[in-house]
Amino acid sequence: MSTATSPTTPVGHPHTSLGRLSFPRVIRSEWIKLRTLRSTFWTLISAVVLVVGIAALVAVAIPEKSLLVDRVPEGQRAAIEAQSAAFATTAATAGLTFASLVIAVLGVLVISGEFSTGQIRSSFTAVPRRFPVFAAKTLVLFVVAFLAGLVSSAASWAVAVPILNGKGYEGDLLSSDTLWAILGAGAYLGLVAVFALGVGAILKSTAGGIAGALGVLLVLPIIANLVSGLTRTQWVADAGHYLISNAGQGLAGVGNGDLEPWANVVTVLVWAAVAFIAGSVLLQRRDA
Amino acid sequence: MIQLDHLTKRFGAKTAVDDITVTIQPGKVTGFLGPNGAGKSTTMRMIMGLDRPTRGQALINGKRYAEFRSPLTEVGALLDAKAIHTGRTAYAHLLSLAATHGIPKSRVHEVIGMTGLESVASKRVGGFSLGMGQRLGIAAAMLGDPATLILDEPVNGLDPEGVLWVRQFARHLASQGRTIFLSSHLMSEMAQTADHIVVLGRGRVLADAPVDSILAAATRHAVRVRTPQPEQLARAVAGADVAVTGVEAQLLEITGLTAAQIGETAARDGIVLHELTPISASLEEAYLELTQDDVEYRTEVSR
Repeated sequence: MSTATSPTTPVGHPHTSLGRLSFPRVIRSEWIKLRTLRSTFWTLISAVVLVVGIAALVAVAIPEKSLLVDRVPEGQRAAIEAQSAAFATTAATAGLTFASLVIAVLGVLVISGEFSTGQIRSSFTAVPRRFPVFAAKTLVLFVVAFLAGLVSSAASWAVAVPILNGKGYEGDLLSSDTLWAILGAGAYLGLVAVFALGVGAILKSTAGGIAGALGVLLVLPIIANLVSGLTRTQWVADAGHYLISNAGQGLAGVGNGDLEPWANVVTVLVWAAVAFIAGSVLLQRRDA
Repeated sequence: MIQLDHLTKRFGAKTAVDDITVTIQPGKVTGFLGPNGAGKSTTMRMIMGLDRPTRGQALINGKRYAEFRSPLTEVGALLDAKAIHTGRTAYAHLLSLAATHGIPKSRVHEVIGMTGLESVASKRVGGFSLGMGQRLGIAAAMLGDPATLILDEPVNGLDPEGVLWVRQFARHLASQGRTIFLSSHLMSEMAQTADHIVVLGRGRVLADAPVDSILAAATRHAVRVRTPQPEQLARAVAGADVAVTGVEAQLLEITGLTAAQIGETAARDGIVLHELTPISASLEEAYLELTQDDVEYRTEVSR
């Protein structure tokens, strides 16, 4: 640094009437923090592109309905007719799992990046009660991930439905089922981000946090599937419906066993809430 | 004013800060001196509520830091030059901190100017040198124009011009009546900056005195005298400017007289001397002496 500075620069007098700490201001601060990191931009863009791109690919890959109906035996044709609308759901939500993984990485990074760089000490110096920092982070991240989920889900349906309509399948972009599915996908991604943020706060490290979050999102459902499939134990299959990933699929319109929509909502909420509470308790208890 | 009251911090079996009770006065620069690992940073982190004390408490103007409704305008702290997200620009970092207190953008620009960061404010912090990181840390600490400033090793990594700047800056702020508490492991640095010095070694307070008295003690010219008749000698040399301290039963340290004067006095009065050694300690020597038993990491071979 070669910039010469004078020590007599005016510093005002002690105790000026600068503002006080308040929760809305901490939210503003967290919003500034989120939007001034490149990783935020790139993860959100890749989540949206992934979901919409995969939806388009799947929609294009599904064969024309008339071709499909011709190929299957007479007895199964009725089934295809009945499932006709489900093809649109399949295509529109095909990228959801990938999006949830990308959003989870963002959720972990938002807090683990503060630990790994030491930023957390600056954050807690400005807001020494700590909880407002975590709550504001959670709120800002939820809204951003929710909007990203909403946009990508709506775009997926908007891409998939016309393609599949053109192939003879049913599917209505503006039906209440579709709109609920779009909203559900957004809510799921918002809550996945909160869940991952909690995991990141608990584990403090980027690598550990990502491994933990992706383990729950990606590996647990696979294990549940394998175990229930191999051992034919019904309770494992039933328990599998209460995994955050499966309940999230349910929210996005895919269906999740016999679980009612509200049960899916509660399941995802509980996962996010447990991670949030554990994370905020540890954040306040541990030395920063 | 910062009050440390029986402040103690243990990490497992290791006691990093051991029952320290110190008051840091406003209107002065108080230096916090000690070798690496003495517990300076841990103490400062406890003042800022980042580490939880095992016992005791740290109060700033009578309150715990977390109790302030406007923490940044009460206390500014530079605890770790790299306590900043590397992916954010200096400006965005300061802006995000300022936002928590509704501190206006104009103040952000002000502290950027104050610390000479104009040319790098829009660059990401990851590429900053240690010195630039220090300046950014000081800028962050000054955002709320706080009445109390806590700086951990602020001159670390600064070029000579930066060192001078921090020194003058700290003195200037103290002259406005603020409480300035800054740490260093360099005695010479403290001697030029501080009014008052608290010396820490292995978590304990070894000295807590005005810089003048520490300097006087450090640069004393004493004479070590071993004699079987210490009381007679003490009486013989007694005078206005003479101080006699008993070190051991037959060992005295006398200041205010030269070795020659003491020897001549002893000869005149027929007092037996076994040893007559002039000792003059430099500042660094005095500091080393003060902390030599309290250095946690010591190299076996001295250079």
